[in-house]
Amino acid sequence: MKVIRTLVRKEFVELRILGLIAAVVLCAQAAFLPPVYGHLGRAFDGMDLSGMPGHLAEALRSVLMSFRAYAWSQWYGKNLTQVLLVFTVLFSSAGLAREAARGTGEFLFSRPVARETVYAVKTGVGFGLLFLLTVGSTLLFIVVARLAGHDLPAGWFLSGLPASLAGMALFYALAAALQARACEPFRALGLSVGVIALSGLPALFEATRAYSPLYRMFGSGAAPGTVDWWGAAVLLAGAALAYALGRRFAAGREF
Amino acid sequence: MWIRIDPHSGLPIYLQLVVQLKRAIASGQLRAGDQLPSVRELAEELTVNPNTISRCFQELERDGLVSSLQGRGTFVTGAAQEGEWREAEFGRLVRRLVEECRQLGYGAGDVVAAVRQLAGEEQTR
Amino acid sequence: MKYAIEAKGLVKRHGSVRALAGLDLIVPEGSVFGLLGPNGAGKTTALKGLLGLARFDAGTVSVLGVDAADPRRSLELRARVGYASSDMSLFGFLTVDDHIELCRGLYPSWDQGLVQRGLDLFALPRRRKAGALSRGMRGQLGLILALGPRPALLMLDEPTAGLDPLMRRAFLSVLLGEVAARGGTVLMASHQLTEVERTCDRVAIIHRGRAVASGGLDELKLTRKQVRVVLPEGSDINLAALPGVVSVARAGHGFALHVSDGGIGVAEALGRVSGAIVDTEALTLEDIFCTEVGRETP
Repeated sequence: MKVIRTLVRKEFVELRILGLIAAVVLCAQAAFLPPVYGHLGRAFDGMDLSGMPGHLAEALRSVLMSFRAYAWSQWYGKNLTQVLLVFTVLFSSAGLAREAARGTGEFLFSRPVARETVYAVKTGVGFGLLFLLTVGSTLLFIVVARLAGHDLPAGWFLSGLPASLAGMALFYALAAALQARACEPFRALGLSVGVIALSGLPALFEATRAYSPLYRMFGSGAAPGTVDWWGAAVLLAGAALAYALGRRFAAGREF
Repeated sequence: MWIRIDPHSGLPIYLQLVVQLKRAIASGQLRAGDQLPSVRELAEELTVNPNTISRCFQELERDGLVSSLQGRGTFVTGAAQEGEWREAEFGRLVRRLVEECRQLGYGAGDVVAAVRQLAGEEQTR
Repeated sequence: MKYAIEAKGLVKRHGSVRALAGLDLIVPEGSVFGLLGPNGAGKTTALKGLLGLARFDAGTVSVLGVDAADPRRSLELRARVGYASSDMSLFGFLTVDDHIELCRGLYPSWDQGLVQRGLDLFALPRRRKAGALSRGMRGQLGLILALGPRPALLMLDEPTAGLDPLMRRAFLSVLLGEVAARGGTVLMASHQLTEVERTCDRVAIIHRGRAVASGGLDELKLTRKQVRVVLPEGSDINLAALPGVVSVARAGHGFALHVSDGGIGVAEALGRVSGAIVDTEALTLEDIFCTEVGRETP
């Protein structure tokens, strides 16, 4: 227990600057949304529909307002997922390849601590930090928007999160595994980006797009307000598999 | 610390220590009842391996110059002040002299003659 | 005698290069053991393997009675072994104190008093980040951290590289007093032969991944000698074939032999030859090192 606590502290210190940047970016992205939403609302409200018959204008206005909520939640969800992908790759670069390349792996693993433990703590702290920042900033956004007087449909914003986070888990585990295997951190980083891009390939074709992890992570196929539990479960299973693989790489690595 | 170690000497360090401690005892720098530093103290002071120090102490103990009292330390014995070990040491030195002279092609007789001459010079001075 | 390290036939390949080619290493408990060898001889590879940082391709190795090749027992082993290497990096973003806290948290037992002594001895700035420490200071911190768990076995790779003579003395003094004098074992790879002659009681000389000479330093010095021989005119004695002879070199009209039996074999053989002059001289560790490493191994 003492060992884990000690390692967690070390990883936190190591990730503190990246974590701060992620927090700023995620919160800024959440905080900028309500004003934009309000602006869009005023634009729709102020639209001159006087040439239309009354009941048609009423219907159009209601469609526009619901479209506003839809666009808003989609825009937020996609943006969030993109930002998460970038930070996944950046966070995972504080992995075993970096320890090996800068010579601190020798320092760490000459002491009574198992590679599996270090690997678990590294992956856990990095992923956990990103997870908390994501959920936290999204909730913050909803609260701030409510306080600003917008009655936004919270379900539309939260329903995309499970698939997004599960996708992040998968890509984080893959990136960490590559870091555990590669001799050089930048090569692992490049490979991670390559893997993410590759996983988007099936999305290019109508028939295969449902099998693209990237597609499911972005929640592109899901209707607003519905949670892609299946997609999230499969992505999580993939993450577990990738984690097990990385653990093996870590155990077999030399320093 | 007055003990000098020459790690580069071909003579093992424990023997260098033995020679210097014997000299200190012979000259009266160390006297009967004096306590020697502990193995650990000497090891830290001279940055010499503790096993080497122990080996030196064992050697001195075998010659009866020091005795170690369990838990109290190593002390110079009363016997150290008496002559026996010095005679043995003297014998060893003479044997080495004769041996080295033999390598130069001189026999024991030549050595004796040379020593006589030296003694004569000392007397006339 | 109990052994802290007992290794047989260690092999380690880096690609097509054999860093270790059947290394045997016996380190008795309680000794200060010097691992000598030219650069690239395999010293670092051997230490890393003994510690589980790398795996051997062949051979058996027991460290403190534990099979060092068994990953399941590696943790238990590393809790009892201290390690410092001159080219091991510290965490640049952690301070001196952070490093101490980190290591303290990783070991089951930790002697903060001893660590404090080391900090005072080297006067290390405790709040400075390791990235801002000088090379010598980083080395000192590495050594202090290796001593902290009061290890039964301390493995050091070029421990005093980068230390000035005063610091070197101070460090060796702590090493001998706190580890060796308390029955701990020290294994150190070093190029500082004078230091090794002073502090080690046993040495092994490694060359091309194999131990070419090993044993007690005193015994080595008493048995490894240079014998200068001048033979009478017309003599056809094959000096290389005499007992105990390691190497033969021409020296003027005579020969300089390196022997491994204190010169007894040569003296006895040539004692019967009239007119032969035999002169035995002591060798330093450096002489022995150069003979062993300079000799072409078949």
